[in-house]
Amino acid sequence: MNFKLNWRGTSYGVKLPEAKLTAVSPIERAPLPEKVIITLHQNIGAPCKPLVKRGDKVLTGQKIGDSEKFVSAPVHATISGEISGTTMLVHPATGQLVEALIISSDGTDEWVVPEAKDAIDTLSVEEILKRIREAGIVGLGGAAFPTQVKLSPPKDKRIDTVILNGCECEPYITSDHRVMLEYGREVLSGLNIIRKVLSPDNMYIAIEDNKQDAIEHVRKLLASMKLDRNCKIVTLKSKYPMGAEKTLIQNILAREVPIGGLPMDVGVVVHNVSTARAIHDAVSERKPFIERVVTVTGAVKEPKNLLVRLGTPLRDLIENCGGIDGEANEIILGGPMMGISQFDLGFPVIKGTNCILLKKSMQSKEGDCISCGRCLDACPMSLMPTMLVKYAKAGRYDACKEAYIADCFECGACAYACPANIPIVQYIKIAKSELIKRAAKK
Amino acid sequence: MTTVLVLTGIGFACAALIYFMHIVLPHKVQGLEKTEEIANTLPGMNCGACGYPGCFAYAQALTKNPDLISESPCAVMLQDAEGLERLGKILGVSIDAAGMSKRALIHCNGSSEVVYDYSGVRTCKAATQLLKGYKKCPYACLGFGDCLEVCPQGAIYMDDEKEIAVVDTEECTGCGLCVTECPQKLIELVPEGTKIAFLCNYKPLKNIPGREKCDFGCIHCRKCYKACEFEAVVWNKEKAIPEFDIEKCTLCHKCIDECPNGTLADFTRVKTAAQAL
Repeated sequence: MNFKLNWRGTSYGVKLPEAKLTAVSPIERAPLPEKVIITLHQNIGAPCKPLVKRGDKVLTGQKIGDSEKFVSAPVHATISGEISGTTMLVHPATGQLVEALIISSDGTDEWVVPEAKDAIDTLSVEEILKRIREAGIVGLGGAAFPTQVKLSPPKDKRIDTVILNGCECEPYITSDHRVMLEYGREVLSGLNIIRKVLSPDNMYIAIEDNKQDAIEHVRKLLASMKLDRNCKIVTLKSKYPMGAEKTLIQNILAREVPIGGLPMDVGVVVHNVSTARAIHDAVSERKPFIERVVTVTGAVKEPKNLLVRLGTPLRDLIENCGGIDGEANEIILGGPMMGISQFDLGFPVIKGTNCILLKKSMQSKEGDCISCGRCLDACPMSLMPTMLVKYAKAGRYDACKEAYIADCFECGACAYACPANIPIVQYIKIAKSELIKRAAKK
Repeated sequence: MTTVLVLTGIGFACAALIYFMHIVLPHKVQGLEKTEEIANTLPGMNCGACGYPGCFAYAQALTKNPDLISESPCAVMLQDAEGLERLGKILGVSIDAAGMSKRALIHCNGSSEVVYDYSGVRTCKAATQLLKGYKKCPYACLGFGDCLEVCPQGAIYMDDEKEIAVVDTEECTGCGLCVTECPQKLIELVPEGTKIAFLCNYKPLKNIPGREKCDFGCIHCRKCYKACEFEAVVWNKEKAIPEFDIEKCTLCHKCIDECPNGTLADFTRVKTAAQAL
């Protein structure tokens, strides 16, 4: 069944140029890198401790780092070879200093002996969660929250709805789109596993209306896999930030996640389509999470969707796409709206990387706020970005807190809408980090 | 006519009531005499460096606990020997100003290379969030002057050539507001009589590719340690940096001359450098 929902009442969000250059290019497998850099802290939560030391031989898929904390995910060797050293790295997303292991390839790509496969129906929920944890799966939409934590809600919270997120509302990125088209069966099998763990009443697959081919494909697959009775495809208007967790829940279910709360609080769990595919690989195929689809796009000769091993340096991927084309002086890990610029092509692909965008940076002078209110219209969380910026500029971080700054998920719609080019998100990030610092002091 | 009379009557009645109250009620709030006396001695600039919201709040806290003056002293008072004596008398404690008086020292020599063009919000706090700042050394002074903004004394200046902040040690009172403000954590409070300044903040944890220290940072060669004839340089093995004994140091400048990268400087002359800016 397919039904169309209206954008409920409000007009928040912004319409962005799509620029999905790679929507029709099939996923290509990138050649094996000569060396990979595996950071030991790739997700939200505790960092891993290394399980191997310099000089050790590792096989593809071997666990090389783990943590005992609940909110954590292990990391695996993504190629076979030798640990040639450890290094410190500035984490591409959080900016923290993290430890990283360097693996030099021996060129053979020899895998660890996979464990026996068995039918999913015979597995217990604990066994499934254990397999997901061991495979090191995190949310692949970008936030990189460990998946098994999302799948084990507290006992008092009943999950009645699961949403599979295939919106991909940021411009340029097409990795989820291609995954739905080419690994649709695996995605749905992953969804089936999620269903087994959480046993929800309803399941939705949310796709934006600019991906008609994916909608058709997934609908056919649903029918052929006999999942269409309890799973519905929701076509959403393509608008930014449609794919954000809280916006999605609001638009599909008309439920509002409480301030400072999680989707769990309203009985919903949202997973990305690529995460579902990784869950299928981990549980059914017993493969750890060592490769993902990354869109390399923008000012490269041939923009591509590449299936790459984690830890591959960005330089290799850009070379694979024919090198830099034209003027590009900015390389962004992630999409143009929420991605973070990098300055070194030696940085590795990490679990949360869905796109590598090269573009010419646009530097615009910050003007003064004229209180036009366009950011208020754009904000999907109905916050007041203009006030947040004024408070943050004046150092009144407590006032930011009272204005619900914690609810901002930094989508950047406000900054896009701002006619004065005020870097609103950056001001909000300053205020957030100052608030965290103050909370840590107390 | 009646209206005029009634209103005048009310006016006189109120005046009488006010006069009566003026006689009956005490003119000063009881129990606050001592606090007020302390507050009058305090500088009254409400900088907040002591950790209390303003001088009066600090005075209230001092009334309750006179020992607080040594735990979190008023940095501005420490510079004023006469006022300090008066405050000591009121509180009934003796204050050792020389031991408590501090100065801010910025552990950075500047001139670190720039690794990428930064085009965001022009504050240090914003710049540190993007991959530890735009300079090659991840611990370097970013030179947007967050410390300059908070300094109640206006004692911090910008060295435009080196792109770092410089403290005027004469104007600085050692209040420590800049220490908490600096996101790179490179400002330290040192005793007032410090003679040699160590101008590097690079933490030798492990090599970060592409983010090595600049050409002006400490290379842990221990030349200063070997050069000192008075045993005033103590080598801190854990951090692999030199530490300086104020009492033994004679300011002979041998260590400063020996340092191959110019990481050391005469602390007493940093002032003149700042004044030149």
